[in-house]
Amino acid sequence: MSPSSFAYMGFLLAGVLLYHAVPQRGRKIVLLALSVLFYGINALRFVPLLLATIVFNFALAQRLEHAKRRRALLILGLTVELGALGLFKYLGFFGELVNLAGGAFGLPAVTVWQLALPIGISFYTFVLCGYLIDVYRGRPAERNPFDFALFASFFPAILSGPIERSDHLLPQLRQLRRAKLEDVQFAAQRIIMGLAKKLLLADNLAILVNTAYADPMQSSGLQLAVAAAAYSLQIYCDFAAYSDMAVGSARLFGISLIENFRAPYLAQSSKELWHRWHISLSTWFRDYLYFPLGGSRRGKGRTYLNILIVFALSGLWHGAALKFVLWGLLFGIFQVIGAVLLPYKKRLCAALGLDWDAAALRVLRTLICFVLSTVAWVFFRADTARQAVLILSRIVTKAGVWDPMQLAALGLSWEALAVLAICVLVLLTVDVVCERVPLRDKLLATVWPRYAVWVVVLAAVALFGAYGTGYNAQEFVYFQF
Amino acid sequence: MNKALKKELLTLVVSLAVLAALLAGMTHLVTPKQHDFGAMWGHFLQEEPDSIDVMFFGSSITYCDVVPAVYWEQSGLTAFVHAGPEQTLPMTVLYLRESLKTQSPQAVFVECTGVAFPQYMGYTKTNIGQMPWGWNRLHATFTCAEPEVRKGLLFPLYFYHDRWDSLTENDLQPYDKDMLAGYTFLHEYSGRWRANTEQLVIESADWERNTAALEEICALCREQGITLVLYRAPVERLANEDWARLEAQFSDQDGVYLLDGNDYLDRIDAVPVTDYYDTMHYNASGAAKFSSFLGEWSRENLGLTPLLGQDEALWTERLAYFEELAAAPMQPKE
Repeated sequence: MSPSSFAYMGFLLAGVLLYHAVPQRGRKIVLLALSVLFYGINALRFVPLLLATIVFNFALAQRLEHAKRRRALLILGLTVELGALGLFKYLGFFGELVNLAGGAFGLPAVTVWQLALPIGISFYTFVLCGYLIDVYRGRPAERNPFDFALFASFFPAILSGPIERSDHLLPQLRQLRRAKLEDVQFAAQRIIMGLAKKLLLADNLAILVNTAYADPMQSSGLQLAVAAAAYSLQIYCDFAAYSDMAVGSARLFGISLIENFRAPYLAQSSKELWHRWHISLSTWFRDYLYFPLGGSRRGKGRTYLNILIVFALSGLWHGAALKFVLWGLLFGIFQVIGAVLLPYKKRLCAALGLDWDAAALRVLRTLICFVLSTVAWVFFRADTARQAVLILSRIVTKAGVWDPMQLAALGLSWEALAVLAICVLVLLTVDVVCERVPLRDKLLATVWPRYAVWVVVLAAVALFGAYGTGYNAQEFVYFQF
Repeated sequence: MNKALKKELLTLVVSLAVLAALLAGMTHLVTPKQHDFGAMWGHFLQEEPDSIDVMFFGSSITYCDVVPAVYWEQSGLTAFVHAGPEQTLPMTVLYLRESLKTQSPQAVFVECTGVAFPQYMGYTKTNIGQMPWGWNRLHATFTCAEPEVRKGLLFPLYFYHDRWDSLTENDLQPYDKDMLAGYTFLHEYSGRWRANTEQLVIESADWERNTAALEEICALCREQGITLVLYRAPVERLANEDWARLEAQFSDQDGVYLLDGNDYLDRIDAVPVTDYYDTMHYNASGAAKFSSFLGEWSRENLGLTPLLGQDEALWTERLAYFEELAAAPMQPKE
């Protein structure tokens, strides 16, 4: 059940009405039932796995809090959680790696098994691992099984995040409240913007991307370059849309979720990009992997190694394929190179009499960061690492004459391309303005202007959105993780 | 209720109304206009109220075979062909109900090949999507449409919003009276004619459903004092034995006539091959002959009197329009 579907809206509306119709003591049960039902609608056969995971982690955390061999218990818990994730997600990948290695030594290939991936497993595994580590570090374990079950299965976030933290979400779940008018206003705005990002932007961008990537050898350098940039925007809009829907949906129950995006393509460095992109995941890796590895406290060499490890594993988290690892490593490499070169770049600026914070240089750094991340995203989108390299080389070697007419062969009419360009411009402009002015909050504080914006956005989605017959409904990209 | 909430609710209501108006406007703009091949509601609703003496319903066999202007010339009765592509009889019931909101025909002709149609045919979107909004359209959406099509019928932007970048001047023109009054002009011949018609095999469930729809049409016409003619076009798409079953079921009903076009082939005098668009449909030449026959038959059998205040100038113009089109030589189909 996609959050951008009529079915989800109906489910959400019914859930919100029921939640607010029952007395305070019944709300938790209602929300928990909705969460299990939602998961069941999306993946009925994996409900027992989710419930078993919840029971296991709840029980383990109780022991973890006071046991003598706490470290061993933590290792057990993480092994079980990550082992399950590894089994469902990486069994096939590891099998292929084994065959690859074995092939180099002339060994026969083994049968590669691939299990069906339980929906949301990458997300709820990290939520629960984070919780276990927090308990190990001294936070009290949750005593109420219903609160804990709801924490692990809260439906707006279970499929694709945000990856919540126990100290942020559990206190809210313990004292469930009614949504106030401000919550409903906030939720409506986020859901409408999420729909716009998904149907107006992400899915229309997907048409360009899918056309070019379907047969890269037939696409020109310009087409592939445009498709690569389009994919960078597509994945941002797609994932940000999901997060908007999740945050908005949760607020209808009076619950605040972590924000996952903060205008990532305004970043001026790879490091800054990951402070703005999929924030819940990057902070998870920071707190539960980077810092335990030593962070930046063990010298530059070790710091750079830690960064590469974190990004490689982050890539692997996204998918069981070499291209994802390479994608992650690329970002790690960009960050390391950026850190190495930063003092030299600042010295160069000073030597040239340039102000490091001058607008022109900030724009330049932002563009370079966008180009570098687009290069990395090519690996993310391509079918294989080999195809990604092919695409990047074609962008350079088949640049030729950049004829704008080639853009008309990417699946959208000129008019549709123009509308899409305007929508992207609006999105980026809003992001830029919101860096200085809390535009979204200011809009929420108004009444007529707010509704005027909502009506215009919804009408634009209805007319220009990628939905209906003739379109292949695009699943949210992060559902596959 | 506090002031802030009242203001919020008021703004919400107004905004929903504005959004609904915008969506309705966009829907009107992007929904393709239907100027021929049936389901011509836009044109039908431009007819003066209560100005049509006779209405013709059915499938393409109707809108390709009946020329209202020629029918009028022979019978003096104004007519409109309000059929739809592969229209099922349950849909025809709703078409008739909706039509009676603006017209009061003295007679209704229903072509009965549809008694052989299964529950869903190929043009649900067109047949129902062109209907004006109202109870009959909603009823058709939930009783005559395939489940997967209902979303788009309730929210047409789902089907047509991506036409926004290919709209033409035609899409922006409002509907006017159709000079052919619902007839679809076919000016080709295929070299294949009625003798090659493939007959339909009727499942019992389809027979039950479709004859129940015919019973509903009979009851509605009886209630409204409308003469009903159930007819079989002069092709044998509907098997003779099935037509015989229909005759047995309906011939005794008051106000209901049964007319088998196959009994009047000599009188219709259509020329094999060149008067047929294909094995099931006449072209313009054949349709003119068939319509002339229908006009004569109506005059001889129905005892109807043309409505007072008939717009003769309009009908003369319609006849001249058709004759001008039909004057061009027939072309073989490619």
